[in-house]
Amino acid sequence: MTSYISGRLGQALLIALIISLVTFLLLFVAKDPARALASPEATAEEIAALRRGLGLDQPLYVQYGRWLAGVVRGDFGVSLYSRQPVTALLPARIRASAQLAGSAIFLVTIIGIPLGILAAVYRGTIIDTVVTALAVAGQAMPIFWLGLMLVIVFSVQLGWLPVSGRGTWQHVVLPAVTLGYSVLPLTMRLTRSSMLEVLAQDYIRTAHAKGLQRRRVYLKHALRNSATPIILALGLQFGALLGGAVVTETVFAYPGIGELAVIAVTTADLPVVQAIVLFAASVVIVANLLADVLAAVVDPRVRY
Amino acid sequence: MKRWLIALFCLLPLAAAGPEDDTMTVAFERVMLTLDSYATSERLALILAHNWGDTLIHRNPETGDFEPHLATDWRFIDPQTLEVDLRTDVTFHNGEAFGPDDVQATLEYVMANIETLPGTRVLAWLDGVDIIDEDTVHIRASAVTPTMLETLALVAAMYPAGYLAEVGGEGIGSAPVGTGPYAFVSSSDNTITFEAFADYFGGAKGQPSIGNLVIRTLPEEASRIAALRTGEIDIARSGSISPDQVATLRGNVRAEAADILRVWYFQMDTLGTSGTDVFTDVRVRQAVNHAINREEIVNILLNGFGTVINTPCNPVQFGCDPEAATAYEYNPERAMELLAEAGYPDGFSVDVFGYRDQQVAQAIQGYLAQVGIDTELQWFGGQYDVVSQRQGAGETPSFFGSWGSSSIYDASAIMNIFFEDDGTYAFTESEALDDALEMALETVDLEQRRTLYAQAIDEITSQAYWVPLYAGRVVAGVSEALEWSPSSDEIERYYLATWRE
Amino acid sequence: MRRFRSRSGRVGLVGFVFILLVAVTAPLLAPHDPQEQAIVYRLRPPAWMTQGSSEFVLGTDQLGRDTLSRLIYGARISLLVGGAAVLGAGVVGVLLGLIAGYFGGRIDYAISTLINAAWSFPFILLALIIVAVLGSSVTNLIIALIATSWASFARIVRGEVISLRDREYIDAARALGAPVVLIIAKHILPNVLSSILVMASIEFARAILRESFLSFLGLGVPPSVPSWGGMLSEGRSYIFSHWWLVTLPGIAIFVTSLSINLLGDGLRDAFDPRLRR
Repeated sequence: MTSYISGRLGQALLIALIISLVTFLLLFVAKDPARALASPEATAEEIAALRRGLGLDQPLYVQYGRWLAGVVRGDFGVSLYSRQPVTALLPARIRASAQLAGSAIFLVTIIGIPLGILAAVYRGTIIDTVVTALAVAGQAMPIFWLGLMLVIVFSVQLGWLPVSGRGTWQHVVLPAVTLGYSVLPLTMRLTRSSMLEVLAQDYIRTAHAKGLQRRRVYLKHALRNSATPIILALGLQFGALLGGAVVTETVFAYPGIGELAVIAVTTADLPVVQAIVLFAASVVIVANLLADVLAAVVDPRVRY
Repeated sequence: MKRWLIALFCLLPLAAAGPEDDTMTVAFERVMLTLDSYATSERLALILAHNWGDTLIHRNPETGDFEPHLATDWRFIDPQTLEVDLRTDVTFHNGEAFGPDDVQATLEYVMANIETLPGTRVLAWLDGVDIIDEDTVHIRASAVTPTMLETLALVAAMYPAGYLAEVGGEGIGSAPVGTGPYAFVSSSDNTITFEAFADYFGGAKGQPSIGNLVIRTLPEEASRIAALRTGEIDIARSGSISPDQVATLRGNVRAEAADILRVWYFQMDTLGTSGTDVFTDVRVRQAVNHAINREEIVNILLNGFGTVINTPCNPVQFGCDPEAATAYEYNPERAMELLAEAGYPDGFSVDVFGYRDQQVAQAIQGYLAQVGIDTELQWFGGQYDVVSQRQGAGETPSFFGSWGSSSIYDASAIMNIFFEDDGTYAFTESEALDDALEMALETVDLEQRRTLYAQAIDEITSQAYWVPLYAGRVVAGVSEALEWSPSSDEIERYYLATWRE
Repeated sequence: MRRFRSRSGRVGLVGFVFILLVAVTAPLLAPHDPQEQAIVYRLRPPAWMTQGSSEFVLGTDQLGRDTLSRLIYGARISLLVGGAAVLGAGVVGVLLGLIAGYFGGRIDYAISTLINAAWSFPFILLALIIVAVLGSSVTNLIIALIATSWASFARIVRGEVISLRDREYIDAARALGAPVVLIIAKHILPNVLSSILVMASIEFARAILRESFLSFLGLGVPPSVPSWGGMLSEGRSYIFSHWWLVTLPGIAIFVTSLSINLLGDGLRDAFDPRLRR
């Protein structure tokens, strides 16, 4: 077992390395950071001087090597665009995105799971149909469109919530709802199918036969057993949310890591992009690792 | 997890805005990652630097005159040396007294980073600063520079020597200290807070009336308009509202417009370096000039927010004389005649490169199509850096773009770039033109420069090297509770705003 | 193969076929050339509002292009991009998943690492970077979408193959000396086919949504090409003044991905042994 875990850890490190290398290569090939940073009205000589001054004319392996060496020491470099150290730029934004993702998952949990349970328990009835319809609709909706619509209704027409930004709990509501709606369908359906599977088990029928109260049966026995896949899925989703809340943050001008990512890529701010990609990927890798290890504990065949 | 979320929600204070809190909230359309205006080519940083900092000389946006500000007087003691007398009664926000050492420290910071900080480029002429006595400095240029005063007034915000030495440019970028009307308070979550500096010396800017200034980032135009209407913001920066949306600014909001320096142009490869030689014939170029309906673009596409120009520069720039230009009126029939004369009776196909103002680019395509010129739009939206590289390398057969002249009110800031033989984006090779433009940058004699530029304009327009399209007019969204309007130099002066009674 | 018992599946099928038809017959159906600009007619509202006209039934955009025609042609792009992305991702993913699952060992390790790497790379970032590198064109968009979805196929297929490869009839076939390719093609592939199809429908819908994400960020198809995501992106400033520019493409995206999702659900139900009565 330990060899499996250490094997997977080694693989995780390898993955992180691959990702950072690919990102570096892509950006290096694509954009000339010096040109992106320079004033639109700079001359060719000025841009060349900028490139030299920032060390961007060094060969690829030198630049990558330097970056890697820095990372190992904990130095993620300085943002080319703002000249602020990356380690100063990122924490506040990560916190903001985490708060957003957390709020989104919170909403999804208190709304999605109960609805999923209801749908499973009252399977085949109108409740089931409505919940399933909501889930399917949610999967099909472009979330930025939803976000824009929400802004129109709740901010402009009703004036209940602020348009954008961050500051009070009201600021988080609309972005969290928008972001949450992208994982709500999955949660609802997973809960529903998970519950259905469990409900069909023999021990549930036994519990019924023993005369236990229905609610007790559902909550105590069924839910507990169907919890694992739901938790796993939510955990995985958290990683995806964190790394990819780009569009939500853009629509709501929410100062998170997704917004920074777009800026960094468009300005070819290599150090910042590298750091963000590494961070987002790490979160997902860790979540995946945990999930895989758990799965391997359950089903030994999945190892290699 | 639930508990800490709820606790977090309760801790965050409510945002304030409007006359009740004496707080003016302005929306910028891009995220500000640094406030050091020398560190970045981002214009927004420069705008704020004029609000929390001061320059030696102040350029009056209406008259164009240079007024004393941190400097009380100045004179050229030789063509490359400017002697400046400084005020002695000014203090920085952190209490440091302003003096010649700050001028020297700031400009030496600029000189030391000329190659690595993109925002320093217009000051590349700096050669050194000498302290003469406690209120005099000499600022030296490495060569004769007609735009010395212009650039000093535009970008050279003064940093405190002590603070700069202590925290470096990076520290200024995250927590700036200057002499200006608004002092930096804090910055987080895309929100930057300033408060009126009680001991502000006034100078050419006067005293700020509104107590607090908050800058927020709202990248979506719809959000800016929504926030204006709900009162969350008081100003949407000029240029952040497109002409099409002006009609939505009503009720408690109004639109304020300003004519700006930026001009839009359609450039043609007159040398054939791009591999296409259709534009080497002057008749073809003149045909293109006749084919584009600039009035319709301005009146209908831009809802009137623009001014048609006939010069390869903005008429408000020094040396840009509209009288010297040949004007081509919209005449598609004449265009087709010229094309036929030049040997293209059925028109031709050509690539157009563009990166912004897509609507106008596509409109131009439409007009050209009407006279038989089939165009393929090579679009580089949001990738100016990539497409400008192609332009600079002479690879673009035709190019639709705009030029802001770095806010320098001098024809050299545009004409030399595009029409000197070795200009960065030049597609022309004309000895007379090149000589005229070169000489205009080597002398400080105003009359001589005017004549030289008039000559240049005459040749450029009669040879139709370009199609000058229009000069820009930008819109700001302003709350009806506020008395304020944008300036034509696109430097927003928030210290001039007052609450309406 | 049991056919559609589920009503929603049938609804999805109908919807999908409808949109497919619209895309195919676009040149006949669309009243105008979607690229034709008439600046004078810009920003006209739909026909049922004041200032609207029957010439431009659903109004015009900021360049005077007919919204209805752009919606119709937009179906082509969405289905083309989504379809090509799914096809490409499916081929790559299924192939790699089959190889990894069947052979195991170091080959599996290598491919699994790749899968996890692709899986861990946040989609938007990968797509952003790819399009920034290659430039925005339909082809590059499809490449970016393939790069971000092949891992889903690979994962599922690998898992299924692993659970299948130790079955007796596979052992028997191997004992009989059957070539690997034949074993995979004849015995394994048909069994994973149902999962692949279901995955395909999910990824198809996802690809359509992602294309609109990327277009919204300005990284989708070039501006002249009519795409729903592009229409949303171009129209988003006009929410207050000319809402149809945003609402209509949004509805189109929604209906399309909804149909595909329902279709996928129907497929899943049809293949699911547990639901057979």
